[in-house]
Amino acid sequence: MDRQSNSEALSVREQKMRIELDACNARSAIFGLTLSERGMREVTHQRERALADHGRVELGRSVLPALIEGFCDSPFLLQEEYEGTLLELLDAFYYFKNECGEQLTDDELIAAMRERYDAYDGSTDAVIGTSLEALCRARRLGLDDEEDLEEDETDDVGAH
Amino acid sequence: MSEPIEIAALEGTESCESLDAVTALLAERIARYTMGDSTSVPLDTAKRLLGGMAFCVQLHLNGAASAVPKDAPLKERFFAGVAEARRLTRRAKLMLNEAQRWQPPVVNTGFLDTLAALPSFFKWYNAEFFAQEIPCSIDYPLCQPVSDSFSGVEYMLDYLKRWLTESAFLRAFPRESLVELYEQYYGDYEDLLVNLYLPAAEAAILCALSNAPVRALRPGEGQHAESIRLICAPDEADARNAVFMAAKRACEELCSGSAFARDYLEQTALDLMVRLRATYTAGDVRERIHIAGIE
Repeated sequence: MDRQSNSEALSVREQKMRIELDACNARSAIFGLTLSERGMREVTHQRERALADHGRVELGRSVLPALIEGFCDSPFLLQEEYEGTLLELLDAFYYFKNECGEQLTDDELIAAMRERYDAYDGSTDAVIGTSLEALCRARRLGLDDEEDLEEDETDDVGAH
Repeated sequence: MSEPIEIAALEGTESCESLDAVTALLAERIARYTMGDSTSVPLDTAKRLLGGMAFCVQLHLNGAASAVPKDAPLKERFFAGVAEARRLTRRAKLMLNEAQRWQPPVVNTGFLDTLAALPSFFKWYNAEFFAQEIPCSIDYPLCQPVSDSFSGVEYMLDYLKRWLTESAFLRAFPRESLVELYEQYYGDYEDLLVNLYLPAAEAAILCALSNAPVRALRPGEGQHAESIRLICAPDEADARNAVFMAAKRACEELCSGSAFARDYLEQTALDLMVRLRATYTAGDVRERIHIAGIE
């Protein structure tokens, strides 16, 4: 298994990602959100980086379509910041995935992130800057913004 | 940044797998392991899954008869290996039942604790995902330990085979003789994590060397001196031959008929010979006292 084979495998994975992202674009376009060619490449590379940084392996289908599907209908997500937001959410997703010790499914985690994102008027900082515990508690108890904020001030020990 | 995953782990198998086949199988394993709940797994989990794949493929490769040919696609060979791991697990469970049913007349805490822990292997062993792992605590030291090259159910099988061999050997002796021997050899044999076969095997070999009754486990003063003389013969080949003959005689007298039991005792006899020759050549007084303890 030489370096050339490895780069070929990477290229195959990139092609698969491209197909997945094209399908995502078709879906998110309904909400006025599309990734450009450059954006798709950036997201693909960021995914590889995030996986390596967080020590995770993702060989089959990617979580990106689920992440895009989970956020594309948010009223706070605009085309101008779509690519940047997606990159930040993707990194946060893998971070929280490790934090939860595999106790949350992808869908549960994305739903928790989405609730936090909407609760803070589309703030990725609010999603990234919280702890997994606060993220899940807010989702479970349906706390409103102020209550959630108060809890975060005392509980955000493991903030990202 | 984390280290990259070693997909090349399967290169250790005789047939070097293509990266595509390994990646596809690992992707399938990850999807099955997470049951669709997650698209990704931590690097450690991926490495464990890869280790399980390599173990099962190798198990199929080593297996004598299988409906799946050695050149079949990787996935088929992997699942044949999983089936083989499950078959070996069933066999190991039968051996564990035997180990529980037939215990030596004298046991200690380490022996009983390990015997109590072994069933958890069968509760937690996961042939489909982590067949290379040994999910239980095995503390009791065997006289001739399992090779480090074994893992998973292969390790368990070999451990139980050696355990049963030792237990069968010890059952040939009266309880009182063993207790007396252990008290002289170890002192607090009940609470120490010590092997019970070793003192009995060594005493039996020393008895057999001097033609003393093996079951007595106590050669007389003159017989002990004769045993040492034979072991410390100037020509090592003579000494080696003497201990092999003694091991054979001990096996015959104790009716330990299996070839593995004979080999096991022979290896123990050889270890004893090497140790005693070194000791008596170096004139280690402490070891002389120790040996005197089993007279």
